[in-house]
Amino acid sequence: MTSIRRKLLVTLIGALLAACFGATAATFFSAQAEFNEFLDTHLKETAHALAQSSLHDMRANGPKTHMTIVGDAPSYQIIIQVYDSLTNSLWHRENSPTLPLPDKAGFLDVSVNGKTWRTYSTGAGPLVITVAQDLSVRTALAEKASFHMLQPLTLLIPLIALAVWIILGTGLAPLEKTARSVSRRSPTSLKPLSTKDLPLELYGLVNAINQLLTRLNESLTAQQRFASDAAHELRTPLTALKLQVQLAQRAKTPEAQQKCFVRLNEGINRATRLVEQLLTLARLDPEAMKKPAQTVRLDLLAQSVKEDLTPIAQEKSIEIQLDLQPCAVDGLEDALRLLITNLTDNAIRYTGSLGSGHILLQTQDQSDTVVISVSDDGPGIAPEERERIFDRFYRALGTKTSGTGLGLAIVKRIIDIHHGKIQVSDGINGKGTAFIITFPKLGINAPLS
Amino acid sequence: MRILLVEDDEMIGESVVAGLENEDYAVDWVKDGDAALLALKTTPFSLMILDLGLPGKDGIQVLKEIRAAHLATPILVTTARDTVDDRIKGLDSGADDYLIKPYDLDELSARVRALLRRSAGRADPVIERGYLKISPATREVTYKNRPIILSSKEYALLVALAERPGIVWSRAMLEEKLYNWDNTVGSNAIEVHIHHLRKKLSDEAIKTVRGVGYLLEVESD
Repeated sequence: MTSIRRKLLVTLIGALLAACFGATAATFFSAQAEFNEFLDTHLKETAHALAQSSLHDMRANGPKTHMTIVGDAPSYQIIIQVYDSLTNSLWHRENSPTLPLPDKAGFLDVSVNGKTWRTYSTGAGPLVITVAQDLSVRTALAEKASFHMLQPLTLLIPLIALAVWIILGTGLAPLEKTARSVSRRSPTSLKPLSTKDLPLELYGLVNAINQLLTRLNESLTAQQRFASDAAHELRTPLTALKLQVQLAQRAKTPEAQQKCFVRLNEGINRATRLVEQLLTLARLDPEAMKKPAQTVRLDLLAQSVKEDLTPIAQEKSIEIQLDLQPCAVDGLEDALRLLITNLTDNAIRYTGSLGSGHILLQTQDQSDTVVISVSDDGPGIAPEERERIFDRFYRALGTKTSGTGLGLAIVKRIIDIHHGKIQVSDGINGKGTAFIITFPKLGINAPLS
Repeated sequence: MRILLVEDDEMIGESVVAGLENEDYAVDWVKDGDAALLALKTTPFSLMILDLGLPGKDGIQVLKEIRAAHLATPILVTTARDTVDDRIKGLDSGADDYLIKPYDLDELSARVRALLRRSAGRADPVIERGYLKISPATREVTYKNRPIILSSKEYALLVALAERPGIVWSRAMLEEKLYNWDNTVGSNAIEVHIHHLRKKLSDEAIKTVRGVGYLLEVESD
């Protein structure tokens, strides 16, 4: 695992070291150039001065003063060599190397015994005076100069490293504090993290995490509520089943027992339907995320739903009528079919038994929306109940049919997934109920408003 | 004993009615809170079984309205909501007992018996009036230690008369206790049952108070 603190420290110290060595190298080269120039001048001046004085000496004292010149070697480890062309003799100190005779006056680099010498030669009458200096002396001087510069820096680096370590530690403390507060919290707690005293850089991250936590919390709460509602709702059919079993056990005649078994079977069917509806509802959202949307022709769906449900409708002498305009919406075909089926099936179940009923399925294509409506002329829903009917497990007062209370909750969820709206109003000829659903044509692909 | 059942679920309602009628209770069944309130105000029920998950007006609201109307009928609440909070809320709103779905028919009748006993002011599960002993749990009746076989209406009538000592019951009051709305009661039905009871116990056990009604008075040692 990488540590920001360690990484920053290593990088910073590395950069610092590189800078130090860079500076040292630069110092070395510039010092070397300076020394070269300075010492060359020195060599030249020394040679000329020797030439002047030896000419003067020769005029005053005659030759034979070469030893004086050679012995008078100045500083900077300079050696002097004098060649007398008259006597063809070479003078230098005893322990100095013998340099080859220069072929011209001026500066030359010559190698003798593996050492490089910088020489300057000049003539003085019959004499050739050569002043030379070991080049390694110059390098040593430049090295010394740059070493003097490097020394304090090298001593400072551990101090800087320590300071950087501490500063980084303090700077990253809010991060560690946040991490600790996250690791300390219980897995069930989805409360937002504290953003108090947070630095700007961390605030964005913590804020984003908090938004995620809030959304998680909402969906978790919804799921828990759903699970709890579902479990409670399953208790009703279970109660009915249990009571039927006990009645069957107590039945005094085979006929009474047979009747109990028939009712028991109905109860099991009912519990099964409830479980199926719960599963449908639970699966809607994951499916909406998973499946690609397709263009669905609502008018064709309505036509097909009518064909499916006509037999059931006829049993209750209800006529399903169609008034369809071609229209399409982007969405999940199965879900949209379920939507129309649920509404039509509801209309059939709640309309019947009042003689001949009617159900009307309509689709309309409007400029950027499509409208589908399911209307009936049944008993209708009281205006004060119209808002609550979409709640899970809500069943309107006086409903004799044993519904699961989930049909309309499923309808609502499908509409939400497709970003549509539903409106409940009076049905055919002011009687019964009309469910009017408006979808944006983009349906499931519509941007969230 | 007449019981009012408030339950919106068809199948549960039918089963509970059948189960309780097997035990000789007269049961009336309504499916929503308003009907329950109306029934309680017009008929003297010995007990009410109330489902809290009702359509329209919810059960807790119905409970509160019943108690606000000073109706003291014992109420047994049945519900799918089982948290402690739910139970406390139910009891505090005026319920006398609580039964969680799915419940057992036997437990339901046991709780019904216990509530009826308490509302009659008895601690003893056996009703004892002189030589007469009635055990509601087993529906066994003995008179002078002799077991008595009674029809369901005779049994219900005897329990009604024995439940509170020293009370004179008019024929109308007894009819209301014994028959639900669906039964058409013959004008002399009560007299016929009284006659049978006197034959099975003794003539002196049930006295006729002229112009008022009947009084159970069983001598003891």
